[in-house]
Amino acid sequence: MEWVLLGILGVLILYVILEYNKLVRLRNVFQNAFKQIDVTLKQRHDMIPQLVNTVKGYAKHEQATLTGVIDARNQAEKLRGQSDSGDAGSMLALGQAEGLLGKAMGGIFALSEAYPDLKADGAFRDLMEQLTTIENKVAASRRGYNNTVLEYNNVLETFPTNILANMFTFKRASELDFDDREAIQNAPEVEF
Amino acid sequence: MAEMSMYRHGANARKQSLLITSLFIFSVLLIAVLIASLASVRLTPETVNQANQIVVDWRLFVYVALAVAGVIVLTSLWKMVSMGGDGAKVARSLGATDVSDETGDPLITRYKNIVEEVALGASMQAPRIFVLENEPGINAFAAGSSPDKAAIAVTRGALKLLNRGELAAVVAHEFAHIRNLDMRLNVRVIGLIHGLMVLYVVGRILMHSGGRSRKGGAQIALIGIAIILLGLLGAFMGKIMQAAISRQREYLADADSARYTGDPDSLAGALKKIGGLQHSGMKEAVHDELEEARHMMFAELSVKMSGLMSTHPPLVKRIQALDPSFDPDQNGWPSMENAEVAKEA
Repeated sequence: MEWVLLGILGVLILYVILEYNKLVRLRNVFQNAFKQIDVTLKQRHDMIPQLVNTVKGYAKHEQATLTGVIDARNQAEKLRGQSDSGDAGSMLALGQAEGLLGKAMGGIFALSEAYPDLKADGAFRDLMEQLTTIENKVAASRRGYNNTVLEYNNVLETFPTNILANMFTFKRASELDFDDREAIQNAPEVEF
Repeated sequence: MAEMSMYRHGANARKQSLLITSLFIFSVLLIAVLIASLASVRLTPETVNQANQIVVDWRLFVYVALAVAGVIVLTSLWKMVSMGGDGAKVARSLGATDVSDETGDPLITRYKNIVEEVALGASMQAPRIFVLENEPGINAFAAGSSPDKAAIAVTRGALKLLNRGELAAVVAHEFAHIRNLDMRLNVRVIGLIHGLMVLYVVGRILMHSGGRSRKGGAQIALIGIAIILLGLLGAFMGKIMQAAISRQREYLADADSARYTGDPDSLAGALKKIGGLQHSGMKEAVHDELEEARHMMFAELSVKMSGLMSTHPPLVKRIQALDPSFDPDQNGWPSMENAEVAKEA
């Protein structure tokens, strides 16, 4: 009888160890995926001053739009520096800031339609290509991060692992969502 | 919903590819056993009953089976090595130019950026990138037997005629071939076909030597004929299977491309542009050397290739897998492919 109980206890302990390690591994995976987003967001933020400078030469009367972009960029960069991967509040704030930045950038893209000289400028065209590729990289890395978060949460919240997760204070991770899909898709397609 | 069916499609194709691969292993074993039996089984007239008795020389059986399998496997390996694990080498031999270090051409810059984006979306390292400068049509290929030795190339026409999303879809399709190790499988299949062709040569030699020697000459000649027939039949079946595998792999790569980019519409758009070009009578392939690599290309080099030996599914079917509402008649595509679809439907 004792042997049976000991056996069950042993299996139970083994199960706890395996599940714990699985949770740690999945947490590392999504935190690593967030680092990739961080890299692409930094690239995005570093591009903004260059974009504003190029546009400034052609569109002097659009100061409001341009300062709007700079402000949004500074806010997003500040939040990026403080962001804590997976934390709900942090992800929400960062997502909103990046969403606002995306919308502000959409304003610049729309504005370029009104300045044919600007659209024809070689430097602006190169810039647009760089911006487009960074936007796509942000989107791709965000998709990758959200997938890893989903995988982690699925394991975390299903019975009986959820009991374990509570015991060892594993927290639910949050996805990162931007509210700017249409702004990015409206980026002008440049002709070569 | 659409995404779900995309995933199912991928899983289905994976299963079928596995089936075809195991069929190949099975056929090598079968051929080895058949030939070994022919060589080792002897009918000896038993003196007492005047009846024939079957005697199997098991040692000979094992030797012959091993030799046959060995010949096929070795030829296959040799072909795999010579066809190159190194994608960059293959790309250069097909007339593509390395543009990894080129700057200044905005189309190339865009192409490079797209490759980096797709690499991120597919969580893979970026391959070496090449351009087929003298190709006005839209096409692309991937080469290299493993992801770290992979190269992809697109035609100049693809750079010019496709928009950003469409080019990304084509590049993602080639990434899928790299990720799925399709080039490795293809080289393996080609290797096997070569192995079977070697059987043909061995069979001819045996047949001639069998005709000349007196003792057991008939049996040797018989084995030679059997080897020739099996070799030819195998090679023919191999070619059909290669085409079938390739077609399946194309569907799988299309499904994966849509998954990497999250944009099946652009892939359909690229395929429609290719169809439009082919039907407007533009000359697709300029280089003859591309002809031998047609199984590696994004789209079939010639419209006329269809049916059992075709390495690609019909364009219309590929488009309809992504965009079920596509109607070739409305787009003014002539009837050849449509007739094909109607017949199979």
